[in-house]
Amino acid sequence: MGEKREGRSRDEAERREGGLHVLGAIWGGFATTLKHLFRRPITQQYPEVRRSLPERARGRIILTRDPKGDERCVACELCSAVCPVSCISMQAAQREDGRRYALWFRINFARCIFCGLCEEACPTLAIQLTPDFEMIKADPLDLLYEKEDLLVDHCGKNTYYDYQEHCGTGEKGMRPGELPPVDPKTNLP
Amino acid sequence: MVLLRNRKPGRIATLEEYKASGGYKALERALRELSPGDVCAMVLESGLQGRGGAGFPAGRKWMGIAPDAPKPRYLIANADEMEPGTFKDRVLLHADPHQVLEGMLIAGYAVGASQGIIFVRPAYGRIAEILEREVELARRANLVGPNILSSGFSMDIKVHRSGGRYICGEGTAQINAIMGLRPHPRETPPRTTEKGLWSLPTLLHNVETLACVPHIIANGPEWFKGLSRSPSGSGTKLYCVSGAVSRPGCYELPMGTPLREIIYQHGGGLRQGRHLKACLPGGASTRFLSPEELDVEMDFEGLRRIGNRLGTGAVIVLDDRTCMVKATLNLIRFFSRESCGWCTPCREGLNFARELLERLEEGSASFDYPEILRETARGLCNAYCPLAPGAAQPLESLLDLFAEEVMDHIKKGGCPMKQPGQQRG
Amino acid sequence: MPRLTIDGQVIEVPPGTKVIDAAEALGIVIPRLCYHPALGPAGACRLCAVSFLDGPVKGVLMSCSIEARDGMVVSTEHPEAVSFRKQVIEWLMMNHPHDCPVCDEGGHCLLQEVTVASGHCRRRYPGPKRTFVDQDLGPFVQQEMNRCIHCWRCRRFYQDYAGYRDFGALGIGWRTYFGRATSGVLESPFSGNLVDICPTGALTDKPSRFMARRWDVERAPSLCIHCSLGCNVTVSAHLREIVQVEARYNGDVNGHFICDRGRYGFDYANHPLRPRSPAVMGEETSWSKAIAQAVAGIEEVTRAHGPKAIGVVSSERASLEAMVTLSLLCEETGWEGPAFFQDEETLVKNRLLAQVALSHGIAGLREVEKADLILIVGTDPICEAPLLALAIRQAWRRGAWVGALDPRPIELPLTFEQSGLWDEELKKALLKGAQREEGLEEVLPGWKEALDRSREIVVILGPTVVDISSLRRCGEFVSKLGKKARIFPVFRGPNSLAASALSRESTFRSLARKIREGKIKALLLVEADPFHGTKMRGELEASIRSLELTIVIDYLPSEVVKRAHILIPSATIYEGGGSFINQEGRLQRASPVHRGGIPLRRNLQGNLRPPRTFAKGPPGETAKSSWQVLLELGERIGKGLGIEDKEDIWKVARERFPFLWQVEPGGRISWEGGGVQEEAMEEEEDPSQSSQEMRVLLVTSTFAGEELSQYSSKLDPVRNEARAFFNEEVASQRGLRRGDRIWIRMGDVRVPFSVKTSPKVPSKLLILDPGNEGLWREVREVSKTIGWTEIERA
Repeated sequence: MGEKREGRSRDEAERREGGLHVLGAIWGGFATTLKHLFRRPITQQYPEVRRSLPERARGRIILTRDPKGDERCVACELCSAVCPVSCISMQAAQREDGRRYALWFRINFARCIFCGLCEEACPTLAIQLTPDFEMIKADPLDLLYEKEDLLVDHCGKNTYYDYQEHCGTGEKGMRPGELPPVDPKTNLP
Repeated sequence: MVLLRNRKPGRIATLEEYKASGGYKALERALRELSPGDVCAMVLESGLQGRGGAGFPAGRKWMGIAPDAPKPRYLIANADEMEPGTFKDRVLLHADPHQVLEGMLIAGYAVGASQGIIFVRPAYGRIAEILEREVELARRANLVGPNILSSGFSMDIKVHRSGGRYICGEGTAQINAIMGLRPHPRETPPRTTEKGLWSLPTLLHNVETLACVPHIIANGPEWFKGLSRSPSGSGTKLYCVSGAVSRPGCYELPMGTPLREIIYQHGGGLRQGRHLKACLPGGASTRFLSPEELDVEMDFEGLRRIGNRLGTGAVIVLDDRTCMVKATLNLIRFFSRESCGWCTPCREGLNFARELLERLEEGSASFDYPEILRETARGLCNAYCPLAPGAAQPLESLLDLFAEEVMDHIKKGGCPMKQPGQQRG
Repeated sequence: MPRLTIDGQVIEVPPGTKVIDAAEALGIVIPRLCYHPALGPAGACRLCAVSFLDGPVKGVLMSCSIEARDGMVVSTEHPEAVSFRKQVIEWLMMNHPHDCPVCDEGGHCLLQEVTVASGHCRRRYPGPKRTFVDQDLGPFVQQEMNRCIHCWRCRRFYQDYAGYRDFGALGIGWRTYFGRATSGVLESPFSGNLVDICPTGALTDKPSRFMARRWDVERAPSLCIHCSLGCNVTVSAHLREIVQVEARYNGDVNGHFICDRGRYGFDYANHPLRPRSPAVMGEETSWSKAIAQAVAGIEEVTRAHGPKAIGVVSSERASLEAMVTLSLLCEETGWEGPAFFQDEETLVKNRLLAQVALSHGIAGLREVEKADLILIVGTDPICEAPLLALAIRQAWRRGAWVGALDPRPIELPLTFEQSGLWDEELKKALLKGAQREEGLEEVLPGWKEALDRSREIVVILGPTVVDISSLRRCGEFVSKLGKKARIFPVFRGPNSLAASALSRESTFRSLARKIREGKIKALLLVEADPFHGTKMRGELEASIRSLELTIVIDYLPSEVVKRAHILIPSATIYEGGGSFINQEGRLQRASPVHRGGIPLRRNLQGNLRPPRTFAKGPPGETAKSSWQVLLELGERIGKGLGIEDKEDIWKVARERFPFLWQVEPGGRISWEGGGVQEEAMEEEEDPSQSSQEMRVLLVTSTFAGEELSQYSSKLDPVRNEARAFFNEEVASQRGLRRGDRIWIRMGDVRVPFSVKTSPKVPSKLLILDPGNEGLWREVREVSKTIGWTEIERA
């Protein structure tokens, strides 16, 4: 219906004004510019003004800690397997207390495309993407972040999940949802 | 009364008493007049069915040992009676152990066995002592050992005390246990009559079955068949009645006696004005029977017709004050504890069912539990040996017959029958 | 041949095939956990359930336990079967810990695969998980019992298949625990197979724990070269080091398993002192400089003394390509050699053994498994070729009779007769056995009866303990056996048969003689270490020191490498691949696994992280295979062989060496044996022996004494100390008991030993096993006899 009206008004305008119709368009354009001249611009002046990104924005990668303060990463290598550009590498090792951890952990941010697949894949919620995108470096080798550059002191976006409370290694039978260890030397029920 | 005719309070029937009542005459007759094939034929004709729970025709089992099968052959008497509710073997062996010995000797003669073994559960230590003593007495009377009654047939009997656990009652597991291995059941083919103990032909029978054999030989298969009240059964049966009855005990009655008669006439009916809610007709591995089905004839065929099984003939009566979920939980706890651990359904599935029933009883169940339990019961039927399918019987019948009670547990958040202050059983 | 229908496809299979294997032949893989082709069906996991819709059996049944029969109609996708399988997985997941991220099996876990295939994702079981405390099962197997799904495979392998009893099942039901009575090292030399067999991460490989994920490693099929059996393996490499060796299935050779020596003996390739860069007079230099120096040295010696002044030595562990190139090069240049064996006696024995075996029909491991009667002469299977013991056990499980004639106290996981005969007594027994009707009944009770009822006979023969005439006698004895008696020769090295075929008359001893006489001035050693297993260290050192030029091409940090004038590192089998001919004459090829180079772990920087550099390639030059080095040397000295690559070698080799003609990889060579003259050589006289002296026999053990595995640090925890085996009576007469410690004086050195006694050891014999000491670095010479005056209590 709008079309018909438009069509009618255009035809009418053409019939009525003819060449004057062009003038209307020109005046409309100028009027729009004048209108916006006195409106507040929406451009934010970065870097003086920094826009706050939502928590789930995919920026710099961190390795978080669990609520107890111990590092979450168990070097399961799932993030490195899923990474589409193979920018994550690590070596797993065993700590003195028997826990699996990453001896070294390296992300090459020159390759990273910030897709977030590693965050999705991580079973312990260790690797997370933060909204921080300001990481320009002059030397490409400086974009090679080691574990000490990635490991942070807080829990990141999840403040309650501790994978070690759910897995079966470590001290047996001490976790919620586990029975005390079986004594195999007795046949009594 | 056939099997328990020599029953005396507080002691066994001695060898002399047994002989006086006609004992060991059948053995004499078999050794002197009959050939092994004749004995097999008589037992086959008599329709004797295994009394250990499976109900397999004994004569057909004996025929499974070919005359040219390798020797030595073994005969195992299964006195590992651990089916809940069953105590007939204990009663039988406390009444007349020589009956069982004679049955073993005749069966051994029929299949050519030279070594008999009585497998006794550890709780029956007294019975093991009694048997050892009586075997020694029989040996001195030339009834056991080399050249029995100067007939040329030699058979020795020894008593083997089990190391424990219910799974040893299963035939192939029992054979593994006697050999000193872990008591896991074995796959049949090959059958134990072909490759049993030490890979040699072995005949394995419940002691009650063996106790029937002398009577068949002494009085003839027709007489034995005529003892039963139903056309499909034969002989008498030791029915154990327990539970909420006034006179629990072991009663020898003709095969095919209606269940109602067993419970109300011989068992004395339910105690003090209670009503019968359900009963297990043949031990723990059978389905619950509802009060409407009480007129069933208690023999193998009769119960099979209504979708149940005779099992060991141990009648457990539950009254209207019994919580069916709690009763089933009790049974499943037993079965999950006694699983040997070989196959997944029994080892894990029974635990699954137990955990769900415990929560039902405790009150933390959710509405999908009955469906999960039904699935579990169905899956339990596909296990390696009959333990898990047996455990599935009470579970399935709970969901079939007492679905409302189960639902009540969920709705009310706990057992509706639990008295306040009562501890969780 | 039963004909059955599976999922609509018809297949005909040999009788006795189980339905699960018939489906696999069609490409349908039915999920399974407890079924293993070597261990047979168990019916324990209940996962292989399929629906039998029609035919002799009906219903949902286990496909691993049911044999295929005519007219069966099977559906693997029937809803009943699928839902039952899903239920089984749900039950297994009830107690399974949430371990996948920290579990080594992730990525090659059978349980992971069947669980994902079943679609299980929701946990309906509300109860707690059962837990177990783990045991320390030794240096090879890591236990994590929480993850166990009770498939019973480990127990079935360890006790039923392999025959060892210290590992098994404890407890009952859901609490069944698979472990030892107490923590301790697993006694079986096949314990590493538990790692391959376990379908979950309950038993994992300890030496490679946490090293790499399966999807990250470079994997290739290769061969185990630690003995002459030639078992097939799959080798994984990660970050420039070899990480794990697993068994590879070969129906004709090793079946599904390998021994622990082959599994954990690979670490010589990662040895920290392994020669990585060329060296001249001990100083590292570049490749071109080293080659130039070598060429210059060779040309100088040739100019001054002629080509015969250069001796060439290789060994039984060199690849076929290296051996062939070396032989061709020696022909071209006129160098003296190549010498593959230590001395003439060894050479003749190997040739004779090969000839005897081939003339009677050579047996491989499969023939051993199918035999009814097995006679072991002069071989200790567990020490020399461990997987042979496993094959013998399978035959024994089927009812075979096993007897052994060997002076060592042989241990086998089965019951067998043994007579401790050696030397003269052995010859006499074999002679009598060949002549008399009862055969060996006198020394091996039960022989006659076993011989009468057996159809397939295998005689296992090894050259290390018996002498030449005993070998010949044994050959005659086997001919008398007639029937279907075959010989299973056990050689010392992985390529001994090829070495026998390619060997000329030179041996290392003859070259050493020529060095002493001054005829040989230079020595080229290709993948050889004459110091290994030598009984005359003093002489050897003197000879090598007197040489003008020693060029060593090798990859081991061996003793001769330290004494080399010019060292050129070569590639191991993992980097270069190689072809080997195993004891039954089967030609097998190993593929290269990785490029090589210095392992990353040795290159980590201070803060334990990899270097932060841009680089074109990995650090540490990729070593070349020894045959490539030889070709280059040949080119440079003007004796080019016209060979460009491996295929060229094969072309030329096939033309020049008839035993390689018409053999395909995986097939057996057809070699007549290459004439061993009847008079061959004068046998060395048995040394005169007083009653105060005992003859010495040097032996090896499973984890000590084999050249390559002695450099593997993974085997350090299980290497035995030096042992001396005495005859029980003789020992007790002298007041020695098992476990005592003694010193034996050898020359001017005292060597410690632990005393072992056995009634099997002949009373005039003293058996010495050097164990983890190698052959005693300071001992100049191991004499043939040792007197009681040289033995003292410690």
